[in-house]
Amino acid sequence: MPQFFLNKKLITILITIIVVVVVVGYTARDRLNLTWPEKFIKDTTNFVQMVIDKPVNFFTGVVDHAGSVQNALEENEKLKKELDSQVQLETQVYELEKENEELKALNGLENKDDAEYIGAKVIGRSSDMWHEYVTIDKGSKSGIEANMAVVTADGLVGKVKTTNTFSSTVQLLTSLDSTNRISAEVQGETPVYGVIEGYNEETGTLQLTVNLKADIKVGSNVISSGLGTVFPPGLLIGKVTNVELDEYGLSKVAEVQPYADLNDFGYVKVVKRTDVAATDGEGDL
Amino acid sequence: MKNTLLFIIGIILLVSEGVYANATATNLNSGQWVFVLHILVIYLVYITWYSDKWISLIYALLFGLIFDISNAGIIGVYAVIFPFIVYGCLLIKDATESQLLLTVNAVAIGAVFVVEALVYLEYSILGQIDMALPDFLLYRLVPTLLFNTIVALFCGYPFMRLCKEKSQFGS
Repeated sequence: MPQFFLNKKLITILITIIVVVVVVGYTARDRLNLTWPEKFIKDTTNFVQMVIDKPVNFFTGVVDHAGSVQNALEENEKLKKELDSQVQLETQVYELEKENEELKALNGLENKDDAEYIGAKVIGRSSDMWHEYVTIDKGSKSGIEANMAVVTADGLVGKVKTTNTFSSTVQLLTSLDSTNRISAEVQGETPVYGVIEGYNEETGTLQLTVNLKADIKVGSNVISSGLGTVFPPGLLIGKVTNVELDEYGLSKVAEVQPYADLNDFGYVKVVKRTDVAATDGEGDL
Repeated sequence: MKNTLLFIIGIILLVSEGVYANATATNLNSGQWVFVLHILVIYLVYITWYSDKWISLIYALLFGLIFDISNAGIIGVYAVIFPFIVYGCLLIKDATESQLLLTVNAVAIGAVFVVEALVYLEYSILGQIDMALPDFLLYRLVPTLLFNTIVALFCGYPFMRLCKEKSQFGS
């Protein structure tokens, strides 16, 4: 036997390197399901996180609010004005909803909600700050599944990456991921459909790829189209800030400014689509 | 076992990094500059310095595994780097035989630097992140090192007392 195989230290190091490469390669893939030890450890650390997060959250809340008291008066005036127009809008919405229901009944369409919402609290972020992941305090026990859409009051913020029993990991819109695609619709006189394919860090906008002939106006709203299987239609994403040709001149790329502040949210809603049954695999994204 | 307390405190520090990341996302870390908390690395260096060799190596592996699972789900990044750091610290410890807090703090800052650099390298190879090297050095590494220097100055003494008193093998 050659000398090489007798060197115990060297063999151990080599085997360790091989094992590490295999494990890293296996776990770096996009996995929808975690193994049970991973789920257990995540649930445990997330529980500790929840306990620590409470007093810290209270403290940061107090500090943040102390700063915003100065602007409260100004804001109050502004909000009062907005409230007046809100009443008008509300009656309008009510009438439209009623009309919609009647028309649906006329056409014999079944009338049911497209989605149901599961409220959750944000308890942590990816601690090395490389990944744009957020941890929330609801898991598969509450009915959350991988790839569900996650929204705040302002709009879409991301999707569920993996679930544990009592907590889940949410991947934000901004994170770098080739599978992070959302089928979207630009509202206008004629709606334009496209796919959100990435995030531009310099401008802080999402890249929406649409047909070359599509006519998009800057400032129009972008919502989820519901053409994929996972995201329900009508989730607000953002507004168009700029439109230009892509690098090959074959399609147009619209820059979409997300409505939701991806740094500043404490509570989210996980959207469970109910109008289609198929939710297998990577449908929408 | 007295060493259990060292482990539990390690877990609490590990979790507090995630809480810190969440609490500062709106204020300190909302801009271009990124201040990453690496209190667990500092803690590991202190355990290495004031505790047993095998305890620190095993704890480094365990903390690394838990960190990988709870952080990004890619197992084998911190789980390799943490024991590597501890091994390096053991070599330096034997070479200097210094018990000065300042020396330990300096080693801890060096460890934070090595961790950041290696993780940047590994995630770049894996295609997990997309950040140019000058950006990384200026906006992430420099603020992080400065921030952790302050953290190490504050936490050094309590960590030393803890490791000395709670470790079965402490001097």
